[in-house]
Parts: sequence; C-alpha cells; structure tokens
Amino acid sequence: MQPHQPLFGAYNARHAEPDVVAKTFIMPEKIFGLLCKGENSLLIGPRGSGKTTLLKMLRPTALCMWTAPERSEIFPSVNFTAVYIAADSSWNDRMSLYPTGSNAYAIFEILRDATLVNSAMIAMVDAILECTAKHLQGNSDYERFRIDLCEDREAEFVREISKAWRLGPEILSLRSLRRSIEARASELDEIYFEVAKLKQDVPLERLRERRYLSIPILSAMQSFVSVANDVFECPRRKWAFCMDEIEILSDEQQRELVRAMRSTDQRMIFKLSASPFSHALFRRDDPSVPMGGNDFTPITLTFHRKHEAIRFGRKLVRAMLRDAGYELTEDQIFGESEFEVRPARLNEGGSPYKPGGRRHAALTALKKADPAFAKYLERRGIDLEIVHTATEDERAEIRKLIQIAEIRREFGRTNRFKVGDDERTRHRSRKRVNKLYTGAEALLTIAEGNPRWIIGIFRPLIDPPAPGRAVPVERQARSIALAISRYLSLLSTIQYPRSPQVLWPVTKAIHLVGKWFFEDITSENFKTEPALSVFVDQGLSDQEVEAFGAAVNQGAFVFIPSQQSEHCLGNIREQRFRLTYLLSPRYQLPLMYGSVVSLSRILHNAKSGIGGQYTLKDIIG
Amino acid sequence: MKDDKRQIIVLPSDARNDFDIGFYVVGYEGRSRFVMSKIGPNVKKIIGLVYDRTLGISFPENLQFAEKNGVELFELSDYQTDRSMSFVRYVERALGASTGRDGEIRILVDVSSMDRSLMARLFYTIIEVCKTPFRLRVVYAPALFREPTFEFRPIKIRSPAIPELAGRLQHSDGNITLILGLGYEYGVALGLVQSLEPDKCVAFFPIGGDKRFEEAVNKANFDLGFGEEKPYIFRYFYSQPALMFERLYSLGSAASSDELIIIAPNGPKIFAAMATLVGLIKHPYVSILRVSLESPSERRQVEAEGTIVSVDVVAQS
Repeated sequence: MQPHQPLFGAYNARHAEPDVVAKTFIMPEKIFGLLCKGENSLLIGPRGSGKTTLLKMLRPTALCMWTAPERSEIFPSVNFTAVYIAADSSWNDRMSLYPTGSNAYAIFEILRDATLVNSAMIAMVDAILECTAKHLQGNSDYERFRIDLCEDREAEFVREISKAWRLGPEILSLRSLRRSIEARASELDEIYFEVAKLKQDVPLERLRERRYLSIPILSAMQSFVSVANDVFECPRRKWAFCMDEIEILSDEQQRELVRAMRSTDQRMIFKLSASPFSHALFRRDDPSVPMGGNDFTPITLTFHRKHEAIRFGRKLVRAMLRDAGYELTEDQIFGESEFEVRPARLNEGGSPYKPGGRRHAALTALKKADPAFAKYLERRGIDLEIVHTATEDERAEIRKLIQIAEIRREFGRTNRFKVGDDERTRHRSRKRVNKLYTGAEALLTIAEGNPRWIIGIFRPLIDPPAPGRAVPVERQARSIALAISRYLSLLSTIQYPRSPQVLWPVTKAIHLVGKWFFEDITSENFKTEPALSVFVDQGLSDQEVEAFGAAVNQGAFVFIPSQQSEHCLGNIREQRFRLTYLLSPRYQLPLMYGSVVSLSRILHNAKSGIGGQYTLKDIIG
Repeated sequence: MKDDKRQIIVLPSDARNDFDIGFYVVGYEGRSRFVMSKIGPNVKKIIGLVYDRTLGISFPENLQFAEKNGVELFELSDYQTDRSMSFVRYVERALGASTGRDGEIRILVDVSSMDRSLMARLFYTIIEVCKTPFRLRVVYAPALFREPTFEFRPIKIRSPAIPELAGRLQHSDGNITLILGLGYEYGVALGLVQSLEPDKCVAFFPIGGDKRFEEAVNKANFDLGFGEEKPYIFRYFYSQPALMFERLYSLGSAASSDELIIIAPNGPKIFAAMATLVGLIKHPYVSILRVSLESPSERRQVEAEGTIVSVDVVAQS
C-alpha cells in the first residue's frame, strides 16, 4: 500500500507548479479578493506567511484550476494576466566576498541587475506560453487569458521583442526565444567567473559594449506589454507583474520596482511582495515613493488580532484533516484550550464560572493565593460567586482577566516560596510547554495564521493519520516545544549588536523582551494591561533596528497597526509590535498583546540576565 | 573515481609516505602540528600557513615547532578572493621549486586546522598551477572529543567558500539540491535548509569515532528532526574519505541540467575537503558554501585524538 502523501506537506510554494498551488490553496478571507483587483498591490508578511502562494495563485493556470467555492466571487474580478517573477539571492552570497566600492563589486552589481532582468524576461515568455497552453483549451474560464498563437504572430512577436531585449534567437519561436535568454544567463555567469578566476577586473567599458546589460527592468516590461498587446491584437490587455520577495533585491532595484507603482500606463500593474522591514522601501525622505491607498493597496498578511488568525488557521487545519482522512473536527481532536473564552458558553448550564466550574475554581484559588488579585477584585466590586449571573459588561471584564489570572496562578508569585532568607520559585521549566497552550484554539493562536507554522505544528500531530482519535495534550505540548526550538535556532543565526564590540544572537535580545513581559505580568501589582508589546523607539541604534527588523522579517514580532500607520511598509521605527504568540509558551505569556513599552528601555536597561554564551541548553535544556 | 576532463582521480592512499612539499596551518589548536610531527620528517619542504599570530592557546608551541623544523611560514591575508594574487603566486613558486621522483610531484596537505575557504583556495591553486602528474595526499587528524558548548553564534557571512566555487547561476525556478555536512554548528544546518529552501536535501552524518561525538552531532541537529523538510540522512565513516568522495561525486553527477547542487560542508574537515574536491571537479554545477560564524566567546583547545585519516588525489594530463 502506498504511504499517505500529504497534500499540505510542502512549506514553500516557490517550486510548486500552478496546478498544485491551486489544489492546496486555502484562501485567507478578504486578502485574496483584494489582491485580485486590477490595481497595484503590496503584500507584506514575514517568511512563511503565504506571499508566494498568493502571487502564484494569480497565474492563469492556477486561477483556472482552482475549484474552491469562493472562486465564483473572486474570479470574475480578475482583469489581468499575471507574470510571476521570483527574486533570487545568489548574487548576495557571491557579492558578500567583495568590499563594496571595489571594481569587482561594481561589475557584479551590473551583472546582478542584468540577472534580474533576465529572470523577468523568462517569466514574461512563460506567461505567453501559459496563455497558449493546450491543456487548458476548452476551459471556458481560460478564454479571458488565451492568446491565439498562429505561426506568423509567434514569429512577429519573437522578432519584435528580440529587438527590444537585444536577443538573437536562432529561430523565431517562443521556445527558441526562451533558450536565448537562458544562454544570456550563462554569459552573465561567464563574466562572473572571468572576474573571479582571472583575478582581473573586466574593464567597465567592455561591459558597456554589451548593451543588453543596461536594459532597465521596467523598460523590458514595457517593451513586452507593447509588443504582446500589439502583435496579439489585445490592446487593452492588462499585465500584472508579480514580483516576489523584493526585499532580497538590491536597494536600487527595490526602489525602481516600488516607484513603478506610480506608472500611468494602464496596461501594467504591479503586485509586489515584501517582508515588513526593509532599508529601501518607502523611505520617508524620498518624495518619489508611491503612497499606500493612492498608488497601491497595501495588504498585510500577519494577523494582529488573533480571531482572524484562528479563522484562517481553522480552514487550513480542516483541509489538512480532511486530506488525512479525519472525520472529527479540530476541536474534537485537539480539545478545548484553557485560555479559550467563548461568550456563548457563559450562558450555558455548565458555565465554567459557576461555583464548581473550572474557571471558578481557578479564579477562586488565585484570589486566595494572590493578594494583589484579591485586592483588584475587591476594588472593582467583582464577586466570583455570582459572576456567572453578571451583566455582559462585567463578564467581558472577567473574560479579559482570564489569561492573566491563569498565567499568575500557574507561573506567578504564588508559586514562590521561602527557603531560609531566599525566595525561590517552584520549578517550571521554560522549555517544557505548559498545558495552558494546548487545545485547538491555543494551537491555532500560536500558529499565528502563518501557513508554514500551521503545517509545522499540526502536521506532526496528525501524521501518521489516526482518524477517530484525539491527540493527547502531552503530544501537543511536545510538538509546540519542538516548533519553538527549531524556530529559536533559526533566529539565533541573526546578529544583534549588544555593543560595538559584542555581537549576540538576536535570540538573546528576544529573551530579554520575553523575560521583561513575564516579570511585568507576574509583578506584585495585578495589572489588567501588562506590557506585552514593544515600541521601536528612537533610543535604538540603526544596527539594533536592523537586527530587530531581521527578526520581524522572520515573524518573531508582529506589527500592530495604529491610526498613523495601518501597515508596516519597510520602516519599523516608531511602530508597535508584539512578540509572536509562537514564543508565548517559552516565556509563559498570555496570548494577547497588552500595553506597550519602549524596546530600548528593555534592551538598554536590562542587566543581561543570561550569561555570555547562549547555548543549546537555553533552547532545549 | 575519475573525471574525464581533468583527469583527477581520488584513491585510498598509497603505501609511500614521502613528499616533496607539504602544507599545513600553524594555528592555535594543539592538533595543528600533530600530522607534521608524525609525517614531517619525510617531507622535503614544509610550508606553514599562519592566520593570525595573536590567537594564543597552542600557537606559541606550534610556532616553536615550526621554527625548530625549518618550516617556511606564509602569513595569510585575502586568501578567500586572493585579489592580490599573493597566495597563488606563492604556492606556484613553491610548487615550481619542487621536483618529484619519477616526474610525479608528491604533495601533502593537512586540512585539520584549515578553514573551508583556505582549503578551497589551496586545492584550487594546486590543481590550477601544479604541473601534472602530481599526487596530492589530503590528511586529517580527528580531534579528541570534548563536550561542545553548543554555543549559538550568529552567521557573519554566508558565501561561496571561494568565488570560483559559487556554482552557476540558477534560474529562480530551477531546482536546488542541498547537501549538508552535519557537525556541532548548532542552528546552522536548519537555518540553511530554511533559507535556501532546497527541493531536495541530503544530510551527511559522520560516524566511526567516539560515540559521544555522534551523540553531540545528533543533539545539535534536533535528533535529525528538521521539521517538514525531511532530508535523506546518509551516515558516513569519516575514516574512509575515498568512499565519502565517491558518494558526494555520485550525487554531484546525478544532477540534471537545470539543477544546482549546493554543498554546505560542516562537520569534520575531511568531509569539507572531499566536498571541495567534488566542487572543483564538477564546476560549475556544484557550489561549495561557507557559513562564517561570529567568533566564539572563548576559543577552546583542540587536541588530536591520535589517528590520521588520508586520501590521495592523483592528477594526470
């Protein structure tokens, strides 16, 4: 018997074919609808948040093969043909060996830019090939993308575009055109190896002789649109250039693409994807940058509100469960979360707030052990014995307290005891995940609506499939602990400049933030709004912001919109972020974002708290 | 194993133990002089490569050993790119002055204390400039086991080991196969898998020595749990470098035309040496990656365990 091959096994859509992308696509509410509008868009999200999948879903093949019920609402609004272009970081690796400003570096900059243009050309040719694909002939939805490619037109297109792109295909066919672009990529490589091997710099004048090296990407795109629309007699056809991961491009390339969103050419739109932090995107001192809302629609892929993340996560987990043959719901399989608060339940006969109920017992125990909590209840006039009969407003206040109370009860001062003159805390290892964080809703909150994390946490729990069986909390806790350890080890490769002489892994700085939050929530005073988010203030150096930004791009901190800025467009200074819920179990924090504290206050005032080294033990013990 | 174009063959070492010229690093590790203390008397000319004279630990003793044994010292500078060509010129001169018996020059290279870039630069230079036929013996002294600190060190630079080993440019949709050498470098293997997002991943796990070493490698790599990206794990005996080379070469040869093989050779230096040779032979289809980490908070002594692992690279015209 063939072992079960999960559909949702792959983390990354980068190499997936459009039909596979379409088959596994779970639509994040509203987001895909916005992206499908015929206007410029900027997708903003950390690694794993689904940017590549969303952009690849715009390709004609993917849209035509998508069968989900939501499709009927979305598909009619698509009035463009997508060209998917993936960015590539190979040049960054190659160039890291050479000092900026050196002649070799300048040569490689030219080659790097030409490589991007080359990749875009291949993507454009592929888009034409996609619009002439035989396997979709007969699909009525495909008609709007279809290009009628008779031999004469193909030859004319290839002849005209070759002039603009300075290519010389052997024969006038699309396949030959593609091969000649590939050959140019090899030529770029040859120049690189010439410089690398001969240790001689190719004179820049010699590079200028190769005129194709100076074709700007926008000019290549414009030529394509003009030639294609003219030759294929579709003058109004709109082309959407979907450029993925623009943050790995050079600053200049990023700026050029972003500025393109101010283009007035109605035949061209841009769908760009980027991580939240970037040096080059939307610099405030650059008057030529486009405006979010006017020139493009910013679309943020992180969910600062957890209910949205949970809703999307449920859709994905349900699809995974269906695919694995489960008939039970995620709530039946993973159980209820201790943190879970469902208002409807409060009115049910078995309210957990009724004397004898689970929450009543926990809150009463905390009241008894934690004088600060008891004082708070007294001051607010909250009587735990009758809270289940209280008004909706009063119950809302209690609901808000539950997570904080649970954390204080489980990890707080009530667990500290005196040994002689010392105060010690009953040992609760940070590396072991407490059962508070298990259960369907907590797991989904921790996964942050990030498809890669959802798959990473849930896949090991349902694989191999055991339909009909619930997953024990211990196993859930282990899966979270492993996901956290892996994630921290990934983050630990990012540098944080503790001082000009001392570089830390950024995880050490994150540790300080987590510890600060924990101290605040378990402090002597009972706080209903403990500090659980940070403000990237002016007290931080550019290098610190850089390190923090790299962590944001990996999803370690989640942007919280404000009235001033609804989206994080590259600049993270003076913005608010919360620590990702994925790390909440590690620092024993509630799954909420509380009040805000300046990041510099935490990082600069904290005594290191951890030794000089940050080791495996800090992560997995 | 043979590459038709360059006529380079990798074989188990022959019985002879005499050499016309030898290269090794005069470093801070105690083991850096181990091989030369055993084989050095049979090497006509020994060149000691010096990174930095201020590294401490065993450097003073290693320097003393070098001076006492007539080792010629060469201070390393920009060997990774060698833009000044000082390295290639020096090695070329040194090799040119060596005359082998029966016309074959016999070269010894001890990789035990070399970083991956220096190893790549030296092999690259020898293969480029040395007259054929020559026999290059690559030797390695495994380290005595010491419980690693598992200290996390941020990545300073990720780059090709040397520019010449960058591998060809890949169309962004092209396939990538990542071959990982596993070692103590905690977080690096997983970080590479996650950042390079390969289509296929093969991890080479070193065995055959101290069991505690294997346990430590296992621990540093989450008991080989890389999450959803499950690499194929290949266990190799680091005492059998010719076999190791053969496996790596096969993987490199199996690559399709639109595929790039990236080898990140962490783990024992002999693995890095074999990977580098594959990269040189299979150029430009194989890229050798070097991940340079921040310096450790404290340098630790590394002593030789007492054995020497070796393999011969024979180049013919």
